[in-house]
Amino acid sequence: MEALNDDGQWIVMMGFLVAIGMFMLAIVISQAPLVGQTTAESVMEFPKNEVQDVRGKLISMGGALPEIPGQSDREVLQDRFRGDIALLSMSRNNAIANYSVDGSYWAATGTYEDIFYTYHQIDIHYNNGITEYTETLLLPERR
Amino acid sequence: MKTCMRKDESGVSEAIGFILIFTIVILGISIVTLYGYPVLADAKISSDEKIMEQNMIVLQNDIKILTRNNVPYRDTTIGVSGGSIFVTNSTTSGNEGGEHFTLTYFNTSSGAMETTEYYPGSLEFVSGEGTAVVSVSNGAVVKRQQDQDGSSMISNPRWFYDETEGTLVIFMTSITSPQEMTLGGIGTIQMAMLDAPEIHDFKYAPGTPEVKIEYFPDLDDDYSRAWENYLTGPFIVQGGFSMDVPTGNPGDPDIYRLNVNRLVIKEYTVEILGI
Repeated sequence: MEALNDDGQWIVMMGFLVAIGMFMLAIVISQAPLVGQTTAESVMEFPKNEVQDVRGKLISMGGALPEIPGQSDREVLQDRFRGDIALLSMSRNNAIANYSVDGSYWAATGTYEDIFYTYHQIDIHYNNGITEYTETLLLPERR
Repeated sequence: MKTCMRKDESGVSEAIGFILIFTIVILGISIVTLYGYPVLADAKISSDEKIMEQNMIVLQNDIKILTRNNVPYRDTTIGVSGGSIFVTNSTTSGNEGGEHFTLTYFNTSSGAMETTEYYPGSLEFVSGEGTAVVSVSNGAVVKRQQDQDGSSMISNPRWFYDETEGTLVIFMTSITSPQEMTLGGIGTIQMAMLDAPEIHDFKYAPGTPEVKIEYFPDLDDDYSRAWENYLTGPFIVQGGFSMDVPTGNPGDPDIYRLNVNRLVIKEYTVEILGI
């Protein structure tokens, strides 16, 4: 009687493995455009530079920012600056940008002091529909 | 112990064996032909529609890049399979009374209520084999089935509401083209936005009448359900816009309202130069 030779079974086995592998690859590839798009969008669309611009401007305005009650030129400056920031953000970046100095959207505020500096609390609010960013920073002013 | 196999083959007929195997083969072929091909064809149609949905999202992204990132020109090569893409000009749509939006808001500079009409126009894919219709219109990608009610929004436009400032930002994108255009097969869509957007920006005192958005559907190309779900859902503002009870008459608009502290409307015009 002839003996059964099953040496070639690995070929069938490999065939199965390759088929399963191709199936898995197909699933991964079919998901790729979606994942790639959302990831790329969220990385590209985080408005890092825009937020830094607003932040940098506020810091460089420095001591001119805090309103002094009863001193009207400070208030006029404040209004202009706030208006400019809002207008530029909306027309260039489609974003809402606003800030508050020593009087906040969120928390009870005030100025903080140590021996050398007065710290003004500046709250920045930035929203372009996808990213909403809020920050509180303390701006020192020499006493 | 040695096993003993019987070598008796008296009941085995080569002819019957051949007929059996042949029958199985023929049955297999006929089952595949009868049931397999239609399933394959359906699968092809639905995968075509899926691909076109993706393509329309790509076009929407291009329009986003034109309108929001201050890029003047944009070319995209896409393959249209199983149907064709039509450009509907915003002015043509205006002349024929097509799909449009009206916004009613308080104009702080004139001190009166103002109503503005927007005819967005569209880039629309109509499936030739299937029933899907996918449209890029007013910054959104919407989809419906031919000869059926209902529609859905595949990709939202980027209107938003800022809770902290109480600001509603609306982008109105209209599509124009120098002549009528269609595309089937592989083609390049050239788009341009050369005119700066118009910005309307109003700050409201408390007690100002709410902003009213009306959607007038084109009765043959109705995406009112998609816009209803978008505007009344939690996509723009938590809780959505409030919606007036529909009158039920065909052609009447759906009316949505929202109270805001500041309203910003940006109007973009994207020109399709060629496809």
